[in-house]
Amino acid sequence: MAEVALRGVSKSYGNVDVIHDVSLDVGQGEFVVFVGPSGCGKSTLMRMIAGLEEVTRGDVLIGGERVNDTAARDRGVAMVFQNYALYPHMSVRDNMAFGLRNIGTPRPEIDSRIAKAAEILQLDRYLDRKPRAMSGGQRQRVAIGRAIVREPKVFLFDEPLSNLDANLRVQMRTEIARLHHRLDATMIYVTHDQTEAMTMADRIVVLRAGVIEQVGAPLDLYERPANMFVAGFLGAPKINFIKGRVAASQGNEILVELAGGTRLSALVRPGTANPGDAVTLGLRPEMLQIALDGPLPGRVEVVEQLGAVQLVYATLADGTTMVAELRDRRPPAVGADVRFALGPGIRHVFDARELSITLPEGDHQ
Amino acid sequence: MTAATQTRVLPVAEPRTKVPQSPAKRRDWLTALLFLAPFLVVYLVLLVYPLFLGIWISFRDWDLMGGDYGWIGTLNYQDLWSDPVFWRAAGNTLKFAAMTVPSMTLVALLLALAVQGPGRIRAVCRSIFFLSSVFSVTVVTLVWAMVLSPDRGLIAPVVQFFGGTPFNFLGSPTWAMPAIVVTTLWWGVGLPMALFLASLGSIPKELYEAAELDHASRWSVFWRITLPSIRHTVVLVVVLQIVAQLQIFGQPFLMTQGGPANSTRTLVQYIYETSFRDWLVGYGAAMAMVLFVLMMIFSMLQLWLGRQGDDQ
Repeated sequence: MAEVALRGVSKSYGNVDVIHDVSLDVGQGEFVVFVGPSGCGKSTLMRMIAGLEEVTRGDVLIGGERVNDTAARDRGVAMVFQNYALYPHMSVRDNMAFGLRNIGTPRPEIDSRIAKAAEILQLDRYLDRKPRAMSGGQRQRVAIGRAIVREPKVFLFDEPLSNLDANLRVQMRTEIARLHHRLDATMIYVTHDQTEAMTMADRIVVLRAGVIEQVGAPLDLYERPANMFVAGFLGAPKINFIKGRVAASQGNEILVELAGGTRLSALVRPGTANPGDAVTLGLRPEMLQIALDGPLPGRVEVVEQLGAVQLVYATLADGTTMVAELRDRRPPAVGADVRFALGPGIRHVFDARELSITLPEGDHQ
Repeated sequence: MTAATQTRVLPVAEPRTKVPQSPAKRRDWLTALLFLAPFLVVYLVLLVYPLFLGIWISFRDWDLMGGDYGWIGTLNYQDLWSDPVFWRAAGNTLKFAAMTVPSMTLVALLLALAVQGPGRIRAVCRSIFFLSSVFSVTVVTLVWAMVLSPDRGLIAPVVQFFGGTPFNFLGSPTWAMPAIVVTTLWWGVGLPMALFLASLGSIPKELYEAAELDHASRWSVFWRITLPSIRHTVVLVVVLQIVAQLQIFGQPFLMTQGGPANSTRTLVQYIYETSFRDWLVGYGAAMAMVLFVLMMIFSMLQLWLGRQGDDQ
């Protein structure tokens, strides 16, 4: 087990910068998820930690030691690849044993580690199979097993579940989370799936275009996003952004006027919004309710019935599409004119630069 | 059982290859045949017919001018059995293939490993190594006859520089065959190299990254990852090489004319001389059949060996 630190890490391919000055500390035994849209540099960042990509500027530290010039094999990391990267000509057992044999681990030790990993991952029955005779989920478990037996300082997962079907993905998600608790190992996990990030991470690192947008515990990022990108990336269905203008402000409280004249109050940090400023309100779908006297009029476009909840998509006066997550078995009909009310929950406010100016929860009166 | 149920059961039991009975299906079948016709015609006229004609001729006393002096049974084959030149030629051919096929495969693989991957220099090298394949056998043998020549060759000055006496490779019964092997390697290495390059390029790079994280040495990576991944291409190259090299003709015919002392006379040259110089087409056809069977046995053996281990 070891901690991982990035100090001003950058990566360029020729003139193209893909990672800009990233600094981050991953604590010992922590499960950190790098999340972001395709091409945001999250995989590149992980590959630099692994030693599979060179660092252009800055330092990568594992266990307090600078490893920029250390070969990947000597960094003490194990990686689980998106396409599993199992050795196709070796049995499951040999796939797991390969790395240990290469460093001269004694035979009985190899056998006991494989037996232990196979038991954790329920691979006991498949040890003599070739990877091609296994299903996607089993292969993924072998890839994880190959990492476990190495007893690495750091586990790296590069989108390990994206080749699996939806059911298996949910199942493997919990298995990896359980594995983390069981091994208490430092794990870094890359994904573009915000659900995986929210459910598995101790801390999430949100990346966009090679820059860290925000780092924090899942719920922290969900409740206190630093900007519209983070607010929009985390949460499903996506947060609703509604453009407006500050109509009045008094202390922490502002009154935002939306298109169509609706006025909604919100709390902001002192001095961040003045009357006349353009702002964007961020309202999570679960805080919206339908009420006869609600302030937000809209017309229902689509209703998605998910059983426990219903997603109601509606168009507001200015054409903005908004989604509300209701827990009412009798949702409104498509085409109906309804009014939305705001239930309890944080009313996020973002300024013209898309940065959050919402008053942090603890500072509410 | 009623007639209706019987007709429902019948189609399942019918063999798949039977000509379909319904008009629509028959039309499909005819259309398919029409599209296949050009290939089938060429295949029948240029491959199947000559093969059987060859077998037929090999049982007859047949000369080049079309003089057919009748069925002689296996007499041609019996003559072969006691023809020392034939045995010598067959031996030379096998020896040539035994020297060329493994070295060609190895050199092609080593070259492919050396020039695969990114970089301008590697790209240039790939083109250069492939370039020799486009020359005709006449040019290649001319070049190599000059290279190997004891008085004005490329090797002679080097030997002289070290105080040796230039050696006439093509005039030596021991060294003529190896010289032809080297010529053949130089000429033919491009295609197997290209096949290996394609195969190497299709190995996922994550396998190598995983191996790097697994502390695999370069040697271990080659044996445990690269070689198993390109095994099918190795088999393909070996089979293609066996078939090609057992038909060796141009190089010895142009460089040594089969000499010195028959040491480089190969089967195809002997077939050619028997059939087209001595006009004994029947006898030549019998030899060709032997060569055909030889190539088939080796190819089948290789394909069979290549399949071993696939189903585990």
